[in-house]
Amino acid sequence: MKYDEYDLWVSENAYGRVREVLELMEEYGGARAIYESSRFPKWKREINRFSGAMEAAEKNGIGICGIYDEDYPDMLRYIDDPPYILYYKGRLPVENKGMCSVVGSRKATGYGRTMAYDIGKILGSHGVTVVSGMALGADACAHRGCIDGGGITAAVLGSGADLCTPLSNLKLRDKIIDSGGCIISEFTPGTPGYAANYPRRNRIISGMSESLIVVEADNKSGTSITANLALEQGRDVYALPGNINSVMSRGTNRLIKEGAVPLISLEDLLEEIVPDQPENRKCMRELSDDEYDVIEYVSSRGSVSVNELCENFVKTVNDISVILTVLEMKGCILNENGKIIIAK
Amino acid sequence: MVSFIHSCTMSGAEAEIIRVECDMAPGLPVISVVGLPDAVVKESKERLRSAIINSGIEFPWNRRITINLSPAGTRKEGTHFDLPMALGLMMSEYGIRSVSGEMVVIGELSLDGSIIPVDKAFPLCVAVREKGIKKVMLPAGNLNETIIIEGMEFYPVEDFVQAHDFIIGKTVIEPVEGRRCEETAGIQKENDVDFYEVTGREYEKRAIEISVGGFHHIMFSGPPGSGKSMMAKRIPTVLPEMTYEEMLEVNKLYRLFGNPDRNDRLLHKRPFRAPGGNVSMSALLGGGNGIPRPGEITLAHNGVLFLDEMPEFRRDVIEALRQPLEDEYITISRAGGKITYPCKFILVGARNPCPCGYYGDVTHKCTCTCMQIKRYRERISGPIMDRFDIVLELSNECEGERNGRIISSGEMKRNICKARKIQNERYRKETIRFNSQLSGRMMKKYCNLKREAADFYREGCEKLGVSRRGEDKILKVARTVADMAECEDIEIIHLAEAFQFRKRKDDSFEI
Repeated sequence: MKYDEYDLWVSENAYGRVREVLELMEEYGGARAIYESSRFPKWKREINRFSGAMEAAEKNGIGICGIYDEDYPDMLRYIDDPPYILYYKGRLPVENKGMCSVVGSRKATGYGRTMAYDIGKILGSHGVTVVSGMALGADACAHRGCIDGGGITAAVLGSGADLCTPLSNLKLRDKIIDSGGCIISEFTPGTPGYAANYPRRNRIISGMSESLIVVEADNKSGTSITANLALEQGRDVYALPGNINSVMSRGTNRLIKEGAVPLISLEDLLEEIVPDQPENRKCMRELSDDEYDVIEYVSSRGSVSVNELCENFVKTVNDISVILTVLEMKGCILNENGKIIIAK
Repeated sequence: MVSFIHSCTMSGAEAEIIRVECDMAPGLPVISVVGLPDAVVKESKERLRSAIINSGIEFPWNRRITINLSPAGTRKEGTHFDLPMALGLMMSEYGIRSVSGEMVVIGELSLDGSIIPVDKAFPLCVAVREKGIKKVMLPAGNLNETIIIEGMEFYPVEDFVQAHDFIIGKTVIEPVEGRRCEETAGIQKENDVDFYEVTGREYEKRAIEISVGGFHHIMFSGPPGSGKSMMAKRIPTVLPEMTYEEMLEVNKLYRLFGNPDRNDRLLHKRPFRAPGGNVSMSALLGGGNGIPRPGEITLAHNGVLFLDEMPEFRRDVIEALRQPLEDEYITISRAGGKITYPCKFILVGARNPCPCGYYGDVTHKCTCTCMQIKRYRERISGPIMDRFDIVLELSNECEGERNGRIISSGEMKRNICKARKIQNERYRKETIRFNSQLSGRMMKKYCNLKREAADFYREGCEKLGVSRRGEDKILKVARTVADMAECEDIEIIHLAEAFQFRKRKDDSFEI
């Protein structure tokens, strides 16, 4: 094994002073020497924990990748404070066609979730690696979309790579690994997902790729933090515009105001992030006139309720319900929390 | 000489006919009452002795008297055993074996020999009628409440002498026939609310129409202010009139316990019960000390039970609804006895999408964590959620101009009655009365789909990810939609509408 428990110990303590640590490594010629020199009395010297973590990593099939290793993500190496060591499960992504980070709120609306899925799918199908945080909501949708599009996806966790946070995404995690992607974390195996870990994790998400797409976010949310980190790291930040009344679009709309690139159509995505041939997303399956009118109206309003439709078209609930069911079956619309939105 | 006379007692909502047996033998003047009498019934021997003497009738002083209330194993309670016991005693003395014709006697004696009204006269008479017995001797003071019970012959008595003379054949009491009172059926209090006031909510109103029309349980889920309670409050305005039999049954249940004011008007409107979130298990299902009392679900029989903010109820209380919802009756076992009450009601539930109420709302920020939301939704378990045929998600409507037609309660009620009439007709030979009660076997018979409709149904279930149980619910709701349109066959449009009322997969917290 290339790394020993002393490296893990250094890594755990290196956050915020990586450059300094790297110089010291040169000076002392190894992590063990630093440990024995007692140069940093404030660093916790519980080396047994790290030998335990080494064993845990081995047992769980977790790989260790140092900052000078070849498979260390390239873009990440040049951010201000890169992780000294990355733990990973699965295969680290190879940057053949680039990487793109997609993040969004855990409480994303149906709009956010479908868009995250679609973006993930398009990127995945064009060979772009999607990096996200495997959180509930938008993140999970982005991963899922990428896998469904046949792509490779990387999930960066705020806990040790041996744990699954949140636990309810266990199936998704296995799917990510099975599909050739990986789980990445800079935290020593066994570290629980403390809230304080998440800003650290977010810098890796934004740091790994050249662009970041923010799907939905409220002001002052973890997603907004990621966006700010990406700007500091000099990444291209794309934000999905939303209804200005929608709480979940406040953050993204503000990002646009502050200079993020609005992602106004999925074709844009293909042009800007994937320089490949565009694909026509709208497949208008044979729609009747009524159905077409409803679709037009829903897309003009963003989200509408059944009552609004009844009143706008001066039809009875029965008639509207029939149209809606057929449209749902055709996969054109979704009903979310009593509101009807465009599915694709 | 042994004499027999009939009286009755309530066992749950049913009457049990009690044979009051009286025997006399020479001996010291002791009266012993056997056959599980409660304290009130035991005391009655003191009353009846005084009442007989004060009526000027010779009391058999030199007799040992035994009164048995048969079947001896049933607990008896209530003051209405005074009169049959006193009559039985005198019959025994005169050597009269029994009264001709099947007659039930109830009444409480006063020490001066007058007969005073009893509390449970109404439920007793209704229950006796269900047993097929027509003649009842009862206190004259109870006549004005029981007179509306059709098909009964009442023998009202003012005092013990009158009853005594009648039994020994000395005088005749003209029986009063119970008759349906037209004027009572006519008094419908005007509703002070109406669905007409609810504008821009035609979708929800339609759902209520279908729910009431086919007896489907319905759940509203929406943020505060989206009109859940407002809509529920107006449900009584669209409930069809009770039939005469239903009216009797409901009033019987209401008067089983309490209701001291005998001149109280009878209930003519279907009950609408809305217990609060802190309701206890025994208040909801029935129970309490001694003989279990009917709970809210029984009081909602033939009507509507509205549980507002359902996740705020105690979880075990909600879970306990499973069996009564399935069986339409509730059996309560207590030390005081095992009792069955009917409880057939439409369950109307309401809940918020999350603890703070604003998840999914565009105007407010939801402050709950994902875990809180997940836990909140799990407070109503899957099996209970499964009982709801219609799950409606409401959103806060934006104000806008109203072009559409606004349906009023009257119109909704007409549609509902139409659908119910068709169902009554169709299920005449079955044990059920409504579409929601259809079993798997009956569904094959009554919900047959033509070829295209069947294709559409299958495709819809598959494409929209409907579970097996969900498929059945859609078919039942579609049956009601078709009934409302007065169509014999379920067609595509009916299915399509029914699909809109299904419970949608709540996947936001599972991925």
